[in-house]
Amino acid sequence: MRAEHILPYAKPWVMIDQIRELDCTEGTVSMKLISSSDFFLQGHFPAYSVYPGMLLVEGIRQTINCKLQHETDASKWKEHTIHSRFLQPVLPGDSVKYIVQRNQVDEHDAVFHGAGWVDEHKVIQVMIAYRKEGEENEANSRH
Amino acid sequence: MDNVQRLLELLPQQYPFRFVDKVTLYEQGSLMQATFNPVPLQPYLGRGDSLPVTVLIEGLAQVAVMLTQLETRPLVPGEMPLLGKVQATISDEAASDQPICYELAPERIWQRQAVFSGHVRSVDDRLLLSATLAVAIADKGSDSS
Repeated sequence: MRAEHILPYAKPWVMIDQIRELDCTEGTVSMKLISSSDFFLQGHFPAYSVYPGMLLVEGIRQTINCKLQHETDASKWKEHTIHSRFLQPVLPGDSVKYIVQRNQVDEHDAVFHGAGWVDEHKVIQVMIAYRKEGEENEANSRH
Repeated sequence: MDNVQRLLELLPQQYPFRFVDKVTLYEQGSLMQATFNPVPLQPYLGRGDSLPVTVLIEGLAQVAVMLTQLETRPLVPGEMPLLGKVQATISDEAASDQPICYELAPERIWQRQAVFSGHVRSVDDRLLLSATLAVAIADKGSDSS
């Protein structure tokens, strides 16, 4: 499944190429092929290329976005916390496989744990916590 | 102010992956403030009403790259800055047609790595994001091995 058909962003802000799995036991799985011709690598850096770590985080955000779009109104879920660790540089020629798993805390809160892999090497791990927009206000008004 | 503005020369990130365009304040050992106007890059950042939160974090990390060099030493040929760790709390959305303001302070600095904390605010002083970042200076190495 082509990610650009699902995501609400215009190119070049599409940081995953393909959704491989949305609901398998492994979680949600996507792929990004890194190329020297990637738009943002012009500036990161001009004389040599390293795929920006923050675009790996964006790849995981967009993988989560595809999952949320598949099952609900994704725009209701707002992220409030991002923790990420960058473990290895990613270079042109690498294929990054993102795997994201969801831990539903309750009806209004969800935590996603994601990782990016190049072959058998983990290059990034991320935790992103989401809350359903408006739920907090509704909860407050009930008290 | 010219001297402050020349600090941008320390930043290896260039268009279209440069999310800092003006350094407004630097106090040694204490603080850096900078701004970014996303409008020229808006066509490349998804064309949404809000800036992607990763752009805010990356901008703060780019301020950290400048601050690391100022508090230790400038990058030399064969070195590159790398993000090690980010912990961010998102408070509000950033409009994609409004400038944002960064403020960053060092927490711990070693020879080749440093930890900073800071925040991103809108031009009307709304808190958008707070974050702690670890930045390291790494050797580019060779990919021929």
